[in-house]
Amino acid sequence: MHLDTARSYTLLDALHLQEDGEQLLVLDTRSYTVHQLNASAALVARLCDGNSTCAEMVATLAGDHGLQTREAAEIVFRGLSLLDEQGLLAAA
Amino acid sequence: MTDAPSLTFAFGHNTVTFSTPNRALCDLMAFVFHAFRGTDAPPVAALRDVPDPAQEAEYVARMDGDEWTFASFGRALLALEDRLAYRLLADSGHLLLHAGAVTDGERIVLIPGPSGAGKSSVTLEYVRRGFRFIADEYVALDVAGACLHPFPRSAVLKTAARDWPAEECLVLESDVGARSFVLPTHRVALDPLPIGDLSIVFPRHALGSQTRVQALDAAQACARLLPNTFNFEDEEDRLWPTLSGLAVRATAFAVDFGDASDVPGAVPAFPASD
Repeated sequence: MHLDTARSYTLLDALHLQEDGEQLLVLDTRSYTVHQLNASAALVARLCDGNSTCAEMVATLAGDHGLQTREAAEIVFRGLSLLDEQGLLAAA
Repeated sequence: MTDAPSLTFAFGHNTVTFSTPNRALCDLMAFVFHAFRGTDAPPVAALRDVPDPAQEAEYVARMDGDEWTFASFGRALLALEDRLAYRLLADSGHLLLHAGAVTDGERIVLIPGPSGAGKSSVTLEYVRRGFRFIADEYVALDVAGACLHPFPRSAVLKTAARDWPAEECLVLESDVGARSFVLPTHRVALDPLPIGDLSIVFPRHALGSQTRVQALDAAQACARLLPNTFNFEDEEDRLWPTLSGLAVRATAFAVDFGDASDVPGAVPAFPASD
């Protein structure tokens, strides 16, 4: 999936989530596969609310964690790419 | 069946009535499933005078509306324990695992695995190390993941498996599938056990495989728990927090071994049992 900064993204309905400290366990019920998202991917997954655009996610992450916009953008796009590679992401 | 002694077992909203005219069979079912008879049930005496499981005789038993006849005590025991456990567990509202379990009073060790994986052998090894037997086949967890409900059915081991300690068990040779019955002679903590410290050991017994112990992260533990559930697929939304919560809080290991004699050197020790 081509990631578009103007779009918003959401996690698939088929997923179940479980907090694991800063990480996140994700069960994909289509394949009964369990994924473990690292801390930064978990942050991004929690921001995928289907309403926030990528730019808004970057701003939220930067504001919440005191990051430079460039740092926050890297985390968001790396996280979105990872979620997309694992087939966990849908465009809203 | 007119004068057959009758027992009532209950778990969650499930109730099963069991009866048989054979006193020994009735006593054994009452002993093994004592936890499910209610607090006012009379205590069951320690096991003694258990018939030879292999001796051919007619054993009739009834469970609710169904009646069966078995050709030996051993065959009756095998079939009736499974059927009673299934009826009590089905739709009980708990997460049901195909797993053994032991405790040292502080730590619970879950031992999930399919038939033949080595649950009984690993359970036995922990009993040898001083843990108390809870179950070697089924356990049920309440949805909060706070309590484990043991199903202490008679353990069944292949005859080639290591012997259980004589002070713990009554071992009965049998011709049923070339297996021995191993009946725990003490009743363990049959009330629901609160889960404090938790470890999970996933055994895999494969002939010829090298002994290997691998620490698992939460995702790996979760993935290995999934195929050992009975009812997860029907109730994912409700049971996912319970299942994944177990994986997150536990220290988990995969243990591969090629022979039952490798088990003592393979299964991990835990701090509470050192």
